[in-house]
Amino acid sequence: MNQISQPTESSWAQRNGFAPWLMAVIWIISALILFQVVAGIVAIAIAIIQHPGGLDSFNPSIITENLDVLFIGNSFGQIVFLGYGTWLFAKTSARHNRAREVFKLQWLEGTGKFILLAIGLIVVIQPVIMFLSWINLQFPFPDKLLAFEEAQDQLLQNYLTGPNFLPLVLFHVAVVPAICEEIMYRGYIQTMFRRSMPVWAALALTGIIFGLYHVRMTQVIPLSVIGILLAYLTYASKSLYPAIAAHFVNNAGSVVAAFYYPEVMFSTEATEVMPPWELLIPGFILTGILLFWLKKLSQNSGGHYVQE
Amino acid sequence: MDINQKKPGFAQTTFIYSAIVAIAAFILANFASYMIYSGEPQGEIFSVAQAFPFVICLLSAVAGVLSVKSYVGEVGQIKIGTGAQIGLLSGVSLAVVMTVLGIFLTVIYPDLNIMVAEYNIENYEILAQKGVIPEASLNDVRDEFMKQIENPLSLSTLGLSFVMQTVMYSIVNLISGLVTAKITAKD
Repeated sequence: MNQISQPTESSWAQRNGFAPWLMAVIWIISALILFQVVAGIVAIAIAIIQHPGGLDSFNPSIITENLDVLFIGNSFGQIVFLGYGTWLFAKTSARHNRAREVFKLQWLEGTGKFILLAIGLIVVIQPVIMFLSWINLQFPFPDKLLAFEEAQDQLLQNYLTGPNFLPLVLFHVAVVPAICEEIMYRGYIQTMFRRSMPVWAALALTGIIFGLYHVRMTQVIPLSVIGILLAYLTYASKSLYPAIAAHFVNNAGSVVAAFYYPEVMFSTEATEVMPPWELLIPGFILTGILLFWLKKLSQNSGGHYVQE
Repeated sequence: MDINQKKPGFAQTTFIYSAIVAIAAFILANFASYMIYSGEPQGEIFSVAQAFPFVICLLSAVAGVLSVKSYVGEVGQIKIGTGAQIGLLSGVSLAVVMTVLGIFLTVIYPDLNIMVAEYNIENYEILAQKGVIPEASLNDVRDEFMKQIENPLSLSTLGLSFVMQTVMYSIVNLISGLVTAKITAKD
């Protein structure tokens, strides 16, 4: 086991007086704008190329009718900006331009155990997440916003239940977000906030920004809680891998369930009704037990590198 | 003053300059709105009225420039990161002051909102007559503007406007603050 060397030279951001939280804010805004704009442009470009009439008879509704095009644009934007873009931007905050140091992409002695625990946690917390979704829906939202989010839901539902190749759907909805969003949020943003504020504030802020980034006000509470959980997993395990695994299982679970049991997944009971107590109480208890276990495991694990 | 020495805070100076720029921008924006919206709509999809908020946003970059220049005058040279931070604070301050002024104006002069809504409805009606937008969408447009007239200070309208202003002014002023810090460092 070799200890990682600690470079003493300061990063570009430090040399130029950029506070770590400011770097995080700059990148959150830049990445979001770049991602939204480029994802849209790529989707339109692919739709125009695929459309038999070309640009002359192009209509924007073609994109919503060909959802695979929309998801290719989305994945492209995520990989280029949230993933690779964050990697490049993080070099400004890393000593000797070593982005790895910022991202906590490291396999420590206990990382395997943390990954298993993370998967367990994301499974047992689902009833709690459903409960939080239900609470979120009790807030009075403007009709226009509800209609917009319903349209978004319908698009996703159409894609998940459409005649698509399951591994491809998993790639767009589970693999790409699990890696790219984790690199950006738990990898970069959380590390930068952690350098500027107390742990609890950094974890909470990272989680809330993750919740808001999805631009779904009717789901902002459950998404923020998932964000905080993933942030805590990264903090407790000192590695990004458990959060990537948990994020993947969370999204992949929804994809597989929607693929095989669409009538259950998209029923009113699943989205708008409070989950039954017989599901909620075990959910809360098991989540509490696994979080306690996670804390114990974190206290017992060292910071030695098995593999750099 | 040495660049690494402990420096005084910049919040107060930044807020004062931002408030001054916000008041000036607000007066200019509303004067221009009054001039544009008291006229007759021409049935244009893209008009000067729509571009004006962006012009005001670009002009507001002056707040970041003035705040950084003032702070540099106080402490000497600063790093570009500090300039960006001052710019970001200028942007947030601008958004807060302009939102407060907007609420104040809506309360004391609600007719301006009605004038804007009526102008836009007429503009859309002309667009529908020209066949640029479908007739069917007119009712939605009317409903939307009528909601704004009936409840101009609703939480969702104010919240959305504040978030948009904060993001726009912050980006513009962050850049202007950063560039000003770089230029003053060269000087």
